[in-house]
Amino acid sequence: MPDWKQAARAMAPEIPEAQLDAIAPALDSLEKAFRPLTAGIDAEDSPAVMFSAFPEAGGPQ
Amino acid sequence: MNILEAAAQLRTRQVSSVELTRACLDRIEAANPKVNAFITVTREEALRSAAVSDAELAQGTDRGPLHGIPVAYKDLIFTKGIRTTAGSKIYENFVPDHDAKLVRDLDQAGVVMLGKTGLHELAYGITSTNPHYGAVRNPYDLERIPGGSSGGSGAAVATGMCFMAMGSDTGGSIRIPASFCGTVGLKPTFGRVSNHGCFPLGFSLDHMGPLTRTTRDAAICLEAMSSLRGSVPAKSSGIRGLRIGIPKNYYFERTQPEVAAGVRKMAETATALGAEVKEVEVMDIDAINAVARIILLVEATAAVSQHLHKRELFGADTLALFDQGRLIPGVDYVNAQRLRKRYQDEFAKVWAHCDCLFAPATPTTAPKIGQTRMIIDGVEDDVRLATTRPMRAINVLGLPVLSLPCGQDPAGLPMGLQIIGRLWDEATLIRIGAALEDAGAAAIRPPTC
Repeated sequence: MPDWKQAARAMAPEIPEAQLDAIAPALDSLEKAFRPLTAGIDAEDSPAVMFSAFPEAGGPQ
Repeated sequence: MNILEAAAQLRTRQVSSVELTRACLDRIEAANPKVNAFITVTREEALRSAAVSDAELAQGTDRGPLHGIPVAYKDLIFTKGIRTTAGSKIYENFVPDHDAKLVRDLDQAGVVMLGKTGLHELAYGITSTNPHYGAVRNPYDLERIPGGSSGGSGAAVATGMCFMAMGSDTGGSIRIPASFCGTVGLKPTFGRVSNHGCFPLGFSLDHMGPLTRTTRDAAICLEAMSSLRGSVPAKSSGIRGLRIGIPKNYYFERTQPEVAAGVRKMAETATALGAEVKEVEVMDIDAINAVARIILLVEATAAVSQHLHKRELFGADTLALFDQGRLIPGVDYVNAQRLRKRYQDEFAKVWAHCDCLFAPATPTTAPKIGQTRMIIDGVEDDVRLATTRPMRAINVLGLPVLSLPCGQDPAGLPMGLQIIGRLWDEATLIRIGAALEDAGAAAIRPPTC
């Protein structure tokens, strides 16, 4: 599992230690569920997020 | 009374928009102190707007079935000149200088705005127990949550405070309150309704949609906010020949037995109405849920990142989620979006076997306010994760979903069915929901408060 405290020291130092202790189990559980899924990604998998050319309409309707 | 009935009475002059609006305002005055569904009530503006609606109808200007109908907006939808808090301390004094696109569309259709409904802080949760504006309460049991994040909208529609309230759904936030409060909730296909002028939670997961008393009412509102037309079924349209899939994996696991039985009873009614109901296998939903959580944690944190140094302005539960979002690497977010595309294709294979899926909306009836853990089928789980378990994947896939009541548990609490459809095929869901309602299958006792 990643060292969440080390990551927080680099990216979000204002998160208190006690809060990191509280959220670490949720992050660990998500890591456990997500990490194996990434093994199957290949070069042809492009992201699903689309640029919308219709800011007012929010996309095709 | 529902929207279609009110619309008919407005045109025969049996009732006026001012009378409908006054009746709703009276209900708000009587019930809102108990359920806390509204953050802001725009009484004077509503009465003025209703008088204009009546005058227009009298002069022969008819804007359609929503003309003169009192409605409410979740308080993350921008309303020009009217405070829009997003249920947050950050925006407690925010007054938009323009309306959301959907507000403009519904204005054009002639609705009368009654005010702004309460929600989970920043729409980031399922309880609507808001640390800044108070807990919204379930009208069927005031000690229980109405669901969320559109909890005020669910409670307002269930108690007759308005005919329709708009909600938003990023991981179940229309369907959960609809299920817990016994209303209809319609989460359209991603992009069907504009979210321009709405506070974001998950930029690529947010869906705007109505909560109403009937499916046809939801369809009328959806048409007013989108280019969808002709989706409101006639009484006789029926569902003969439609193929309804019952997932044999995932969706009925870890579900309260009464809820599962309620959903299966709706499937039996559909069979009796001529639909073909069969078991189908869906892909690994846990995998989609993991992708959903990565995407939401990162997008939600990005949406408020400029405020996160003011930690005292956030409730404890939302702050914990925002802190998690700050620690997810960017690479994981992009890879989650790559997996999303793959899962969209994989899930779509189920449509070779059926036209829609029937599944429990929420796995249980409404939990108590303050409850954080629940045991379902012998498995203990976090209330938020358990409640969103049947929800999140559908936001990742962008599919339309209609949630409607499927009975009440022994304590009288409403239970919800979700009908999941193909992209852009809201019309089929509406057709099925309306047929089930016409058969009396979705009728439940109203709340007493």
